[in-house]
Amino acid sequence: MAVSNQEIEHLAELARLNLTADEVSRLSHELGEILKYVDKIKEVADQLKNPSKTAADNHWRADEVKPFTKARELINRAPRLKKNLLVVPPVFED
Amino acid sequence: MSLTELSIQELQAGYQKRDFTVSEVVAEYLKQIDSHDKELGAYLSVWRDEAAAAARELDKKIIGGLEPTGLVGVPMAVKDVLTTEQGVTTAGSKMLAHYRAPYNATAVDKLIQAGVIVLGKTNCDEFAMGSSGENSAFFPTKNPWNKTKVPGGSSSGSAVAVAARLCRAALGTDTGGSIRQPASFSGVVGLKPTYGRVSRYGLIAMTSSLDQVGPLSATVAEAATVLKAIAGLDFKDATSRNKTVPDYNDKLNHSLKGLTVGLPQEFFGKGLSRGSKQVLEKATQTLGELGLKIKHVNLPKSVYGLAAYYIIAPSEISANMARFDGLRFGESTEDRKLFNHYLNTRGRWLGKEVKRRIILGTYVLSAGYYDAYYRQAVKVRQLINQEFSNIFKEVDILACPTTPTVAFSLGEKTADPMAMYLADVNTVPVNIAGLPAISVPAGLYDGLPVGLQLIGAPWEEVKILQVAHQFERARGPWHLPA
Repeated sequence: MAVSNQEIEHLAELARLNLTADEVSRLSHELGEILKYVDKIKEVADQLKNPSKTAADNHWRADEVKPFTKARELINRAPRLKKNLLVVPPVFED
Repeated sequence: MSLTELSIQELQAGYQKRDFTVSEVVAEYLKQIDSHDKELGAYLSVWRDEAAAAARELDKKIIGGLEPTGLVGVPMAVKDVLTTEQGVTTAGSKMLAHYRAPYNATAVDKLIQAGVIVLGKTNCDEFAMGSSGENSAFFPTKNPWNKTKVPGGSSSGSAVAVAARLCRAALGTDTGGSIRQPASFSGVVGLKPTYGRVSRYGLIAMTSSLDQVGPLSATVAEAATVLKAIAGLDFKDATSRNKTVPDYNDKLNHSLKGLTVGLPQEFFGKGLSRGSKQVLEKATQTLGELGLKIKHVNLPKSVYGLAAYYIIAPSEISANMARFDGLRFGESTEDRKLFNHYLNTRGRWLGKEVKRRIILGTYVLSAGYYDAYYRQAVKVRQLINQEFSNIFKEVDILACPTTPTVAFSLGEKTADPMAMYLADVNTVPVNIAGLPAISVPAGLYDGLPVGLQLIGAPWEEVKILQVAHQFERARGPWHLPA
């Protein structure tokens, strides 16, 4: 079951990922191959009698404030900074 | 004999008796890296001066009375998906080619506190996505047993650094086999601990519900020493668990009488190559000679592990990779429009396999497909969990091939992603169920190593380490490639 080029382009847009025309056509073929393989989970999935809501058990800890001293260093990793603010392209445009 | 041949225990005996210094040992490893790593490509960065300086400091402390035990003065390497304050942390990606992390990963911090000398950061598939090391955005790592072969992946550089004596032991990470599979292909020991045993703080996340940090080393005893040092609860990783960390090394020689080992028939089936089968049959015979009771068992659901993995992993990857937006860290384009900025930053600096998994994950999570794929995969994951927990009521450990074949050729599977994925078919079910497992060299076929995988119940690393250690002794000396 192949995934069309159009579908790949739509997914790439959702994932904010620029793909070349070559990459799109290759992925359309490869995704088809991979989906054909993973499809076999459907042979067994319904054998599960009591599906649980979460993949793992929950573990709790006290909600305590712990100091983090490296905020400045984290901000300094940004590609563009103005004082201590991150410079980003405008989110809203006229 | 070169100092790089000495085990952790032998190094420390030597430090104790003042036979040699940490500086001399580190210098010897750096020399070994100089002579061989150009060809092998195990390291992405070597911390030459820092390692030499740390060694000098440690020598002073030893003269001052510091007892060389545990990991004191042991030269190790760290997979480049674990953050370090020193140098760059690239995750094998162009996206992070210049990224300097603000803190050390907890596992790295624990090693440094234990007295380890970090020699550098090792090569890996980009963001740990791959089974051959060929997805590194920088260069592929070569298998020291045969340089036309892949070393396995994604902890390719860590496995080769140990195999070629470019470090004594290394940290790797394992999401679907990324410690055990390269350990098997490269003829070293690789241990994937129970999910929650080792903190992932500072591990650049790939599949958060599966990722785990663990050691690669020349011997089982050394893997046990490293595990002891890095294991335990860490408040910075909410998935790490408050479980007692035993003194693994003290228990390695305990009698194996009364233990039962299960041989899952599905792992010895038609996918297993003839050569590997011969080596594995001899290995399971050895397990019997060690006093273990052998039982043939079936794990029919685990066969679906790889299929579930390639839904669950890409789903989490598509979410985890969203952090690479070119705004907060990493590479960035100059686009003036936000949408184009995202598109182009990610399009330009993420590699093929990363893109493939992001698109696949976006697909299986998207409206209309979520129920058909993701929800079903989660069910299969539960089925596999149940199957393993039932089997561990009958047996203490499971033994099977780590991989269906020995190392394949460089370039052999790069054009066929599905063929590449199948290299992890025997290791993935272990991650799906969060279990501990170790790969230990069992023998050679056609001049290439074959790994025996031992799988344990959750938190029972002790049992697999005991069996692996005693198997290793019964197997006889293992000669790493010259």
